Amino acid sequence: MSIDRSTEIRRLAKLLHREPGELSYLDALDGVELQEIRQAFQNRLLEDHGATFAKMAAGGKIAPDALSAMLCKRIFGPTITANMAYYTPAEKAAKMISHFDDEFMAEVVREQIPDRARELLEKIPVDLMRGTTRTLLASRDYHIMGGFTDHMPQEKVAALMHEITDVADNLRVSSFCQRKDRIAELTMKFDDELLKKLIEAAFTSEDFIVEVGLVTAEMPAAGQQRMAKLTDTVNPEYRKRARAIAERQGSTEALAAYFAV
Amino acid sequence: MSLDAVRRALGVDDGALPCLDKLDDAAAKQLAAHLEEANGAHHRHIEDSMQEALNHFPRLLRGPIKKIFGM
Repeated sequence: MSIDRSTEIRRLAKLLHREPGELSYLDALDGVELQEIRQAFQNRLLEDHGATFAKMAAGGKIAPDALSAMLCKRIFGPTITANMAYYTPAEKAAKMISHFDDEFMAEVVREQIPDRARELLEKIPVDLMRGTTRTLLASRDYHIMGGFTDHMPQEKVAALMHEITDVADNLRVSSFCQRKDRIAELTMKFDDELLKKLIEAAFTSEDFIVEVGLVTAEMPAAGQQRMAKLTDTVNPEYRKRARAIAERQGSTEALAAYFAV
Repeated sequence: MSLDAVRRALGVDDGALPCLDKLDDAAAKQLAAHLEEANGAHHRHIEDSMQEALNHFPRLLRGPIKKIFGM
């Protein structure tokens, strides 16, 4: 898996409450190095209060799930709940979640570090995630969704993509995903009509063209060729624009099959 | 010196994350400042959330609860 530098800058900027442009002083670092810094900082933030949250979670282990969930909603609130979740057995946490409403669950998710929630993401039934996904889409929390997409089982990501009604939101979420290979795999399952809509949306902004290029670059040659043909169907001029951008980005080689058609 | 501040803010040992050595002093200073600000904001956010949770309990119980959980 390659680490896209722009994606990582966007994620680090969110963590530091900054705009990506404010981090230009990190130009000397590549995507992997930025990821190392982000992960170290996330761990540091978590560990500072880890002992407290571990004790609080331990206190709730014997309580019935419904009571624990009620305490989370009424007393602890989303921040403490999100942090206690790392120290709560994933099966219990998944059961507690069934007592949360979509809004509270979305608030909890906004506070979580996706890398640390992997086990929980495996245990939560996908149907309990649909409402939260819609809430996060409505609040345009694409960076949260992108981070979680990297760590969620692929079949759940595929199921939750059905909640996305604005095709451009696929690109917005993808711009915060590092696993472009997984996005590519899912995108290749789109039918031609949906792919054409995605291409049309992508060519409305340069950032989107770059994003769809990163995803297409992860597709095998046949997938890239299909993308090329569909792009020409939408607008025969589009691939010239894509090539100019790919040349600037140095990604023409990775998109060789896309440009060869 | 600025790199030491960055490593402190990241909670890593001296010499960890060798990629940081690529940063010049001005960049390291800027990164340390951004990390410290974000860290401060995070701590305030956690402390406010803890206080909000404690406020649900009678005043007399708050001290013992804080002690038990190390809040």
